[in-house]
Amino acid sequence: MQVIQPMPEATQVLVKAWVGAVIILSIYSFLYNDNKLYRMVLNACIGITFGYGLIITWKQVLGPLWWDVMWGNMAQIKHGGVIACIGAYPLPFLYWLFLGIIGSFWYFQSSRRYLWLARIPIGIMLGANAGIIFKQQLLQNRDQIIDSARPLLATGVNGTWPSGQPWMGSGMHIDIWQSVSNLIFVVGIAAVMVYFFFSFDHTNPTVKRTAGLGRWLLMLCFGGFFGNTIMTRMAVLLQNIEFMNNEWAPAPIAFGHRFSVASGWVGLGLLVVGGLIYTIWYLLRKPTKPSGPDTPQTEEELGAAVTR
Amino acid sequence: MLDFLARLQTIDRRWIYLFVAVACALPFYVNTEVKVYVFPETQMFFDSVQAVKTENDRIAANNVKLAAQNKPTVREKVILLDSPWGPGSLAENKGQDEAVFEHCLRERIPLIIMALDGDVNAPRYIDDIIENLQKRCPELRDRKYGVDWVNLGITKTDWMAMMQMAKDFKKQLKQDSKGTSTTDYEKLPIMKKIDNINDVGLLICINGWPNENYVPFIHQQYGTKLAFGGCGMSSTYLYRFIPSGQICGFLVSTRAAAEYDTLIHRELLHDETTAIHANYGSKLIVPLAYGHLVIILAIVLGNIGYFATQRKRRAG
Repeated sequence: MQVIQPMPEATQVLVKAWVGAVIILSIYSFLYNDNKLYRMVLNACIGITFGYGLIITWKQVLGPLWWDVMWGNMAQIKHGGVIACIGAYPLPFLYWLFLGIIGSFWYFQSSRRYLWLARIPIGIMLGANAGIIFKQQLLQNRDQIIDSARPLLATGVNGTWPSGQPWMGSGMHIDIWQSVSNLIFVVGIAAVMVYFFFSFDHTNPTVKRTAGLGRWLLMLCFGGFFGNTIMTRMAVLLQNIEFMNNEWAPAPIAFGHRFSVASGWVGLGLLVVGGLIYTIWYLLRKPTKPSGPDTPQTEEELGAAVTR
Repeated sequence: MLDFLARLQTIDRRWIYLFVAVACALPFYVNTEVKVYVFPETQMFFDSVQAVKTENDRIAANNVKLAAQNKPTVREKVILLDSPWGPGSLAENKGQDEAVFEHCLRERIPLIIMALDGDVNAPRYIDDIIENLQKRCPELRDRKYGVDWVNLGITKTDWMAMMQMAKDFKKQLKQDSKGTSTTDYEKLPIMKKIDNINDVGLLICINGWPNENYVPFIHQQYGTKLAFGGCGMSSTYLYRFIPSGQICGFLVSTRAAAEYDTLIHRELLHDETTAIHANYGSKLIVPLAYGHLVIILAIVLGNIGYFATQRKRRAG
């Protein structure tokens, strides 16, 4: 039997880097315009992740937590194999088999005829989650509700020993900055709660202004969300630039200077030729009509759609 | 002039993408450094990890006395790290993981890593990060898999898994990512140190959006110390757990990875000069700052354009 020889390490690095680079550039080509290459690479990535995920889920989750447990008594059976194992330990086997069958009903979500079977595991999960949500919400929010009641005049000790213990008779002083912080915190909570109080009209000037303050504070919060989202998206871009700079660009160096320079020119050439082909195709293509069951195709249909 | 300013609002978005890309790429070629200031929540995170080391040192000293008296010794605490992130948040979580791994391996704090409801790539990323870390830091090459750390791979079912792990850890995680049984103590001696949640000195969840269910089901129920590492997007929502004391540290995005790296160099290695560009987060912090500057500039220009358009409309 012929054994497939693994690629040399330098070739592996080169292939990995180029595959990565092509995928990154194809995905980012969407920033210019939607195109077939982007969609092809996207679908390939989804397919690969799904296939890989299936194997990993079986090996690391379903295997050890269900299959191995179901056949766990097999090792204790000396002769007779599968049938003897089931015969000797029918209850544990049937219990795990039953759970497996119930679990597999999830997949009937893709069948119109047997969709009702999928409702069994969904119902079990809904019931369990509905029960646990009380505990989850209570325990998660309790400490935050307690923390919301803060003193508007915060105090601190005047002096402490290196161990953190206060000096004897050091007394307490008003901590100005902590007090201001607490005031903003408490006013913020009150204002936002007033904003979300819809049981009466916000016609009273005090209520109206407090709700207005609440709206401003919410806007500030959304600004924070937006800023942090930009940081996340920027980091994703940087990750790809870092890959291109630190892994893709130096990958050919392992093959020597000449190969490195040649591959750089080939890469640049491919980019230029690809760009030219795309530009020519883009300029020569026929303008396509938008398609879809409700899309007006004739001028009369368009007029009728506008009138509607 | 008003016409020119009004046009600022209609700049094609693709030009902005290009400017951002150039601004982000430039620092990779032009050597630039920025001073990294450590935020309090990152310092708290670092201190919490260090506190496990201090506790383990105390336990070890006490065990010597107990052994001399022929009394049973006490097990040292482990750090349980849930790291289920995938490619989507690699840029932010990789540096955070790298910094935490480095801290634990340097201080020889037993580290048990898993991926609860994780991305299928998560176990591979964990192995890659530790492999690269050992390549980068020769002094960490004597740390062994199964002795100093273990990668238990993926497990599923969220809060149900948490409750099971808290009571009987090895019943939920029966094998590591390579298929070795967690009760095979010859290959994985580190697993002797954990039976349930009482053996965990600090539970860390590093993910794009860290699993909040650890708060009610682990921290509130068992009192286990908890720390999060997340992407920037999640931080605005999850900061609320800090003032209430439900989490004892929070790593926010790439910048926190760079801050943690600075802390490792400053407090463990007593060396500030090598802090830049050592960790994945430190590599990205300068380009990130440049990218942010372009975005701020774009916002300012957009607003100038908006006010110019308004003024033009009023002028008729």
